[in-house]
Amino acid sequence: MVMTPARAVLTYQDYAALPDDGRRYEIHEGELSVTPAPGSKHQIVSMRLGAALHAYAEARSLGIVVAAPFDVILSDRTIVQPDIVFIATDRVGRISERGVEGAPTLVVEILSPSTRETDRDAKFRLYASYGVPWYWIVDPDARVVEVYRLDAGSYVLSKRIAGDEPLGAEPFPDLVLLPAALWA
Amino acid sequence: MILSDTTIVQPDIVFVGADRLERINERGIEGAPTLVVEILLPRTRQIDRYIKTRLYARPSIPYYWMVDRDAHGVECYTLESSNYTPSAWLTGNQTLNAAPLPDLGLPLASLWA
Repeated sequence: MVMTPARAVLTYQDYAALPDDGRRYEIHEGELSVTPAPGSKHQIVSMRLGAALHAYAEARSLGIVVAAPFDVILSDRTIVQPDIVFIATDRVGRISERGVEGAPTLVVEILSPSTRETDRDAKFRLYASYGVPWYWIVDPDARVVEVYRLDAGSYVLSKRIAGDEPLGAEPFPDLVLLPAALWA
Repeated sequence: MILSDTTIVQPDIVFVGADRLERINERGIEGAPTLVVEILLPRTRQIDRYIKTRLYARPSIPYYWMVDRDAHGVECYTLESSNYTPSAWLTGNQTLNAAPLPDLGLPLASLWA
């Protein structure tokens, strides 16, 4: 879906001038999106998952795992700061001083009350339209991890991990992580 | 990190020791964590080095580490009678072992991207 903003279309230049005040600013197809600083539960889950993915990827030289704040510059008018990003070796050339220029391999969003709608709706469409191959949605309240795979331009639910099932999911099929270890 | 009603900061990394876990609530941590880590950046270098050093000493945060990405160094400070005194200053191929994580065993060289 192409959004048609009624106001001025914002670009990376506008984004770079935004204040560093703890809130998460993003530009979605030229439109400003602001969400408040995440709460404790969100950050604890984010660190645990990020650390596990980082250790896994680093040990196997699969690529780079980065946690927010980290800019994903999908285009000059779409800049997002996902909670966790994985950039596989074949895409590490996209990492610049500013962040990653173009689609990373995997984007992980951890739902919080203030981002739930955006993560499931606007971000879903954005990541699909810019060709991010994998999108995980982590719901700390429902204690569920949903793994989406990009298939012909839209996301298909590839796996829904809940309960005591180990978290082995694309693009990390051999990852053994018990979701119970994530929840705060 | 809510140090007081008028001092709220967002350090890069915070470690809250098991004895302080009950200070964590929905908003963040209320009061001093065990360790604060700041990664020095050109635009925050002066703030982290001078202003935050005083800011963190006041509510008695026991340990403060500063990671200097450009110099490839880590400075570790311990609070002693309301002032931070250096406990370790690491560079090159040294291993990061410093209070409050004396067995961390992190090779410094693995940090730099």
